[in-house]
Amino acid sequence: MPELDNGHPADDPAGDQVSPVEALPAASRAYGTIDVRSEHPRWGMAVDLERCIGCWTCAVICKSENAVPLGMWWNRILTAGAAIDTPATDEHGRMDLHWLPLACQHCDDAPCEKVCPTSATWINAEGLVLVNQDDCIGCRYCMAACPYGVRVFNWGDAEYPLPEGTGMVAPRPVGSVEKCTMCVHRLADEQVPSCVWSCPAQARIFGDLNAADSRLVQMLDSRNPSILLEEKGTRPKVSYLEPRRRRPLLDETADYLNDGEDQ
Amino acid sequence: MTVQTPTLEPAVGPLAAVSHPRAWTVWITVLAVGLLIGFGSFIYQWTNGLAVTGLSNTITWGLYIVAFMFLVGVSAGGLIVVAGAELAGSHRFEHINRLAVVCSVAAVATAAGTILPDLGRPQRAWKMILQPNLTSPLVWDMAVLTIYLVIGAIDLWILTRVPVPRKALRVMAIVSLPVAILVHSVTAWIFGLLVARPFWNTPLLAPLFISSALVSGTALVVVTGHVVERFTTFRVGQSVYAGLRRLLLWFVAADVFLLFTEVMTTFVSGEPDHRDQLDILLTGRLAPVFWGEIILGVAVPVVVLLSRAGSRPAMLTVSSVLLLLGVFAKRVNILFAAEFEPLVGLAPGIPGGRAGQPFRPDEVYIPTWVESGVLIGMAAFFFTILTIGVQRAVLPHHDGGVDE
Amino acid sequence: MSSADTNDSADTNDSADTNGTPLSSTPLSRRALITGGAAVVGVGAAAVALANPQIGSATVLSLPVDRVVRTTCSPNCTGGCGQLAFVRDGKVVKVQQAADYPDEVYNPRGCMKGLSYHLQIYNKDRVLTPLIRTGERGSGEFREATWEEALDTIAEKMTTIGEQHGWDSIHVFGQVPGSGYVHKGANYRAAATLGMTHGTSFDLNGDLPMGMPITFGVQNAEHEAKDWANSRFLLLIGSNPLETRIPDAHFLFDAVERGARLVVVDPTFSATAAKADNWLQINPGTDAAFALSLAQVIVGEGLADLGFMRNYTDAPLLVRADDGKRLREADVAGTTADPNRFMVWDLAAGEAVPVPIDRLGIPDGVDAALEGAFEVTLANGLTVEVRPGFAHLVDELARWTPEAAEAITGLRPGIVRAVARGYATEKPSAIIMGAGSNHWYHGDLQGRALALCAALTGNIGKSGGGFSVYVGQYKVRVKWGPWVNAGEDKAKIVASIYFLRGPTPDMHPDVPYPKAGYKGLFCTFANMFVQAPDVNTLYRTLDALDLIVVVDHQMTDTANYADVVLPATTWYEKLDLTATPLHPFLQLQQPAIEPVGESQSELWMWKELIRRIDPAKFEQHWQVDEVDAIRMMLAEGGPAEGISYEQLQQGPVRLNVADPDIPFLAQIENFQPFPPVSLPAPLEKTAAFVPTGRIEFYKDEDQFLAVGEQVPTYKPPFDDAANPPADYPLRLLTPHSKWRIHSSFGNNPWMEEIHGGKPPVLMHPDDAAARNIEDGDLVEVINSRGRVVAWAHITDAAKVGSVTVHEGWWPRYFKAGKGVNELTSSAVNPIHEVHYVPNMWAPSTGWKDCNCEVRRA
Repeated sequence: MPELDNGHPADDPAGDQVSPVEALPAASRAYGTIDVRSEHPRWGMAVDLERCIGCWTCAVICKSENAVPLGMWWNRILTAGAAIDTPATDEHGRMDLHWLPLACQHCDDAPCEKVCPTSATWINAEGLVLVNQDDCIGCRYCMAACPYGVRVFNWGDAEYPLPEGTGMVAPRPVGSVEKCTMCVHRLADEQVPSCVWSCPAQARIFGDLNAADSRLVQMLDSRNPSILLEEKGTRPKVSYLEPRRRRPLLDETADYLNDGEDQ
Repeated sequence: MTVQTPTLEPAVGPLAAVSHPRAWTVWITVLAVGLLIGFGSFIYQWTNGLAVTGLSNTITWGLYIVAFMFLVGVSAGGLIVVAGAELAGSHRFEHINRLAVVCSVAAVATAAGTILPDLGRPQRAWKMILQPNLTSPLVWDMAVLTIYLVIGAIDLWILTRVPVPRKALRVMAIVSLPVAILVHSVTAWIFGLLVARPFWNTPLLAPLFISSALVSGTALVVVTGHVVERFTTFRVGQSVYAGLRRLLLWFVAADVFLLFTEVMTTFVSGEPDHRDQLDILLTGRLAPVFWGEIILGVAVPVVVLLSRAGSRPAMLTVSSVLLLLGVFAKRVNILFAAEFEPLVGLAPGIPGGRAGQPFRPDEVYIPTWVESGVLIGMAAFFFTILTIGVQRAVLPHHDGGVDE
Repeated sequence: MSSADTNDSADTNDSADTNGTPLSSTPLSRRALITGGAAVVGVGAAAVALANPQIGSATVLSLPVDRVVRTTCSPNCTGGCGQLAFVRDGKVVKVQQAADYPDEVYNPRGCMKGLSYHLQIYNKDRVLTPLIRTGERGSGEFREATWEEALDTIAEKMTTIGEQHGWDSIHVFGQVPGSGYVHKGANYRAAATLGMTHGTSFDLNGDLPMGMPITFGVQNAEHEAKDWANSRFLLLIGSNPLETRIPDAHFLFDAVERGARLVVVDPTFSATAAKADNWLQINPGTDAAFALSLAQVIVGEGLADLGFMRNYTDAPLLVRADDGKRLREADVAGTTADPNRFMVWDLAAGEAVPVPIDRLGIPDGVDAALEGAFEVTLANGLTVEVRPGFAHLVDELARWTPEAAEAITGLRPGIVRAVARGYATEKPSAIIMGAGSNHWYHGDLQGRALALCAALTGNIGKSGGGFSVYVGQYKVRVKWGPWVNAGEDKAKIVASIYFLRGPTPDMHPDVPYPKAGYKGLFCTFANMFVQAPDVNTLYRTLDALDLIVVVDHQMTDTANYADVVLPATTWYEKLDLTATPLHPFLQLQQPAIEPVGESQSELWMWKELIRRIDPAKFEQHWQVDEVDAIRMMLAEGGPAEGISYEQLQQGPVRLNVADPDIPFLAQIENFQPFPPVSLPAPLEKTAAFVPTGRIEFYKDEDQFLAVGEQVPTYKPPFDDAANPPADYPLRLLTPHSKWRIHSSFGNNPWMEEIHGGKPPVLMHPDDAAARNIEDGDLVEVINSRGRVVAWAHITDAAKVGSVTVHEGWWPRYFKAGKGVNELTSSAVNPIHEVHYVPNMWAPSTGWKDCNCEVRRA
């Protein structure tokens, strides 16, 4: 093994390891610190669909952070169009393209939690829907019950593109169900979930729904949020901020009415 | 499920005695091989994970659950026929009582067994018992299936007394009829209570499960009775066949009516997601199975049953086999119509689950040989229990029991 | 669909969202997946109370790491994103943005590719040892070799070539020096040491926006990305930041949230177009006609800032009618002053007067004419007619009313007028030009015409304004001379297009093309044989070479064709210094792990090679390490004045530039002449591009006059001559993909999972139907230069008459072919050969000048 020729230290011997949060440079750690929280937080998230650019950065860092194996995604970016990254065209010939980042919605009334025969799926005191892999028997009833299709199952031995895996948490056992944990292991260190940290478009806002002065609550108050499949009564803690209204310049010579383009 | 009786014959006695020793040997061999295949496949699957099945994160439930739904359904026959007749004060079916209950017990036991290979971690199945979540329909179903199995066993024990204690039988009938209805309802509710699956999420699902359970349960009694009749001295008798034929027609009528109500309501006024999933049946990927079910599994047997030919045991049996296949197809349709079309169906879809198959927007489910192997094993298990039951509980009492 | 219909649909989109709620009208699911305005705050306490308390013991724990190292992700995307490498047991197990920029609007910076870089480090394609070819070139047959053997082999072979044919017949090729000054600089230092030629990338990549040196005398000059947010009107043309500039895309939203309007001009309904207020679906390659029609409206409707044109541009400078050249002071009778000065017509005095050349603006008391024709008597007694340059512009613009341009651009005049008015009045307004507009044979004309719009509205040198071309991480932001030169010796730099296709008839005499031609190639930091244009021509060049050395960390098709492959470290395994045009922070790449396999840094390789080839020069120039190199560059001052290596070790440090970093501030605010310096070229070299010292819209060099490109004009796509539309009626567009940085990350397993690994050939339904092609069909894309086979993807997003295959797909993903660059063109525009300053005035590749046909394979 050739040595580094620039005077950098050799690898630390095993056993001399530190928490990944403690090891962060100060500026980075400050960046990721949860803004405000109440005494009894209830974690929630908002995704700004105007800002979402469909880049999958949140999905990739989720996969990396949480050691999600090949073939599985806890967080994925759906295209509200005809196919991935492809616009849909309406009957007037108008094209439209949006993205919908989708992961566990952390429902207050979570269908998955109700049907789990062993309570492996449970809701913690901060409102997060979690899976205790020790108790999961792999019946996949929760997957049938989830309206959002965000749960994935460990069908066989996990495969990773790296020799020794990836991520900041332990992988889940074969035969168990897994999904977004809202990076509960990071919350313990007052750090935002990784998808929130990494969104390059700053489309994700994480915070305490119980803290009136959190940026999340302020955004929700000011932006008229939507939730997915509201009629299913699941009461998600993930909200979506709708795309803005456009302010198009108008072609003064165009006869929009007679072109059948007006509504 | 052994039942000690005072007139116990050698285990193979009655069958062998009817001079089909070769058939018997072949049958035992088939069952043994089937069990072996099933057991081997299950062990293989357990070692390698459910990755060896054709299941995915979109089609999370497949053949095993179809088999489960189907077997719970066919278990209806016995208890409902026995209890229903008892409560109605009819003695017409008395001498096939034990056969019917044996069918029920075999079906329920196998149904419970099918859950095990469907689990990702069968070694932890005990957690369902020791730390049950009481809001889970799966827990309810586990409880009600257990009760059902116990009732079946008690019924069988009662029916093999000489003479049959009628009072006990009547008490059991009063207990077992609601339990039977509950079994099918709760099994339906495993699916029907899920807001995530519009096609399942209909109040009609429980009645539909009951009606098709009655069809398939009765059909199983007919088929089993006829086969046992062919190979043993057991006789079903013309009046029983006639009664079963009439029952079948009523049950099919009820089943078709409920199905029609469901389809009609959804087709004409159903909410869009529900309608989308129905369209998979009417015109989509499952259309061949659906229309096959309607024509071969309903129309043809009904025509046969209504015709004069329906009175012939052979034709009645053929119709029953078709009805059974029809109900099986119905289970396939119910399960997959909801799974093929997830509520959030935007591209690129749900991740498949294994390396190399990240997203599978247009889900196809093809059961693997492992699943087929396990299914063969389940069938062998079912027929083994049925055979033992017929051996031990039906034939020995045939002469001494109620007769026409 | 006729082209008129296409316009309708473009305009329809403009109006689509005026009324109605955006989401309820969009199929976010098959049914309304998202329902309106639910109060989600404040519910759920009950659910928490119902949670099963005794189960709540299980939790998820963070796994510890050895360390977290701050470094910089720096492929050729211009992102320059600070990253943290999380190292466990000596391996990178996570990469995440450092998000430590002192200017917090830049946090976080980084995209899904950078965050999956550890999959590149441990990729199955990673080259782990030196490899020596055993089979035919390209057969993929190699044997593992020791460094000793590999280096000896290369040194010996290079020496043979150097002695027999001259050292300049070895071409060192490396991409984007701006993304890693130390190791990419080492290539230059090596070329300088041994006398090899070094190639170029900015021009070869077609990223050099030739409109910039022609107009402003600079290599390129763009606003730092955060300044987008200060715009009130953003006009994006051929630019798709949402996919190709992911870390900066949010600045568009920041602007929009502050009330800016977003107009996107693109033949394709791109991700960015989907977010726009207006999307103008322009015909490919007609941006110049569109820009000229904007300018026509601006001038015609009196919206132009004529004061700006007088003060800062050559608009008032007089042009002689007889020879088309500018009138010089020396030409004019009676003047004896500095002969270099240019003349304007002073309406007050009624005569031609000189303007200073060392200062912009018009002298007090002079009323410089912008229009009209005047007579001037020359020193030789002749009388010639002269007109201000602006008059020539106005003549040209007269041809480009929106109505006249419509036949070419396919854009309705009404919407063009509306955009022109908006752009000219909702100030500051910015033009963001992307590769889609630049990557044409006549990309210079498109750039010049757009620059004209910016100048006409006085949007140059103003925060929130500007004409910025974002392509390529070309920018050398430190004075790196002491590092890249070997003492007094400097590398001879040959535009790589000449390496690829041989000299052209009009090649500038300053190009140090080797007399003996090329015999060897040392290729680093590049997947040249996939990513160069017209690769079939390149392969013919390669066949004549005696030695091909490829340094890479992935077994690319380029490496696969080499004689010797040397395993390189990734930027998580070495130390380097980097900067980008998009933000003004100087950053280090710091090693997070030890080199994987036997890989080594480029600096180490060069040191070992030069020690073998020329021990004396090794002693003289190569007793240096990375830290020495960084200190050498920092010590030169300039933008890096006062920045120390130790400071950089702690995190990003802002260069000594204005905040926000805006080009031409000194010109606009202090009337200093154009151009500002373009590092690393000395000012006098680039000053020759704009001899007037002003923004030049009238070029009087002979070559411009010869081809009629004195003023910005429109010329049709060039490839029509090589691939006649009769045979190849479709325009092949090869935009950048969001899943890759060129070919980097092309083999990334996570990206593969998302994009599926089947290159799509995007076609409009009409074009597909005419060819009986259905979605998912295997199709061949073909022209006279080459062919690839891939899968049709039918979408309304595609422009009728165009085909899109994203560049950068590795050949192995296609069903057949060496990649889409089998079809692209290596034609050289003689205008790009008027001067020669490598990467600054040099042939810029016209990738999108490429006609093709598509048929079922």
